[in-house]
Amino acid sequence: MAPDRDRASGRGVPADPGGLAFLPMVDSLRRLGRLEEARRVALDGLGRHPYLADAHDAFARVLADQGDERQARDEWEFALRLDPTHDASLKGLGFLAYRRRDLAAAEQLLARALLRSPQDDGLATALRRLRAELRGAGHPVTPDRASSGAAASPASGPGHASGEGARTLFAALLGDGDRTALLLDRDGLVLAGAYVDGGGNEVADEVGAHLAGLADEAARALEHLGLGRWESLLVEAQHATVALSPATDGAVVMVAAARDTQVGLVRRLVGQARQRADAWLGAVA
Amino acid sequence: MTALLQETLGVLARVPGVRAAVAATVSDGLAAAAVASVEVDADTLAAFAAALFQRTRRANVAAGYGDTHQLVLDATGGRLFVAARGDLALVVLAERDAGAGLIRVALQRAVRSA
Repeated sequence: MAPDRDRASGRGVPADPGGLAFLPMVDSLRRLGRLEEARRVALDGLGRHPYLADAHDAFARVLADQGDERQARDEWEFALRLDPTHDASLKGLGFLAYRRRDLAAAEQLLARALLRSPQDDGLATALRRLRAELRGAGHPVTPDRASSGAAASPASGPGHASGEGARTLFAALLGDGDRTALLLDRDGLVLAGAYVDGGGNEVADEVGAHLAGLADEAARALEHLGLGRWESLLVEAQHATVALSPATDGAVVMVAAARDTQVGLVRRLVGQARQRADAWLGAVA
Repeated sequence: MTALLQETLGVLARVPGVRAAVAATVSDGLAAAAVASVEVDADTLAAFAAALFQRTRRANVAAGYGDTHQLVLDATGGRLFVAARGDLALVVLAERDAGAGLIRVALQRAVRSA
């Protein structure tokens, strides 16, 4: 019998009793719409691998396809107890949350999944759409640096009350979309702006420290090439477009936006952020 | 390889406003080929452009933004474009008022074909 037919028939399991061949087999059967066979193969595999997160995930997918969302959720939650970083289970639970229109929960789950699988373009797209829905519904969102360098919600994170002016300095500029902006001093320390990742962690210091060094490198290159002073540095990366611009007193403004944001818009935003930063630095001096 | 690179750089150098186009290795900043319409020190250009690109690449990975595709450095005296695929970087030095959009697209095409 040909391997494909083995896979689709569900009869390949006995040939590999201790292995994990049942996992792709379950997926194949699901894609063929043969859900009862998929369920049998998944249960058989789960019986042999009761502590394997992938096995619970495979069974949960079948259950979700069959419309048994309650049990699917149980399986995915169990998988996450076995492996808290299991991204497929995070996605599954996010999908269920979205289906019941719990958008905030769905966004949290998908953001966590994306942190584990930053290369997953489909997931990144789904998260962007979900966040757009959330904004439309007036909910705050948790930005995700892995996908986009997203904007921090002005109301999110610590320091909201005490440092609100600094934290929200760029909020009005950034508008809708996954964007963020920071003002860094010459040592890469954050002066203003906020940056919260998908897990709710404040990462402005970390991102700022990594990116601020680019300003020195740019200035050094220009000096040796006789090209004068730097005005902006625009970088197109895999998951984000990042722009830097020098501000008053050696400070640097950084804007990061989702990769699908127009490059010209990012450059325009960094110019506006620079003006705002210069005015703010002048006021606090 | 060198003939293809020269041809690719020649295409870039013909874009309006471009002063020089250089191919260099990202890892050590050595020029592999160059086409310039004005007198430009290709070795210096390659060395500093590659250093900037390498630093940018490391910073982007550390910040979670993934690999770096292209950068544009605007300065009072000109524009520097760098794009890379693997260890090969293509560097374009242009006039301050050169059309960034046109050069950016030409550079993307050149990187794919180099």
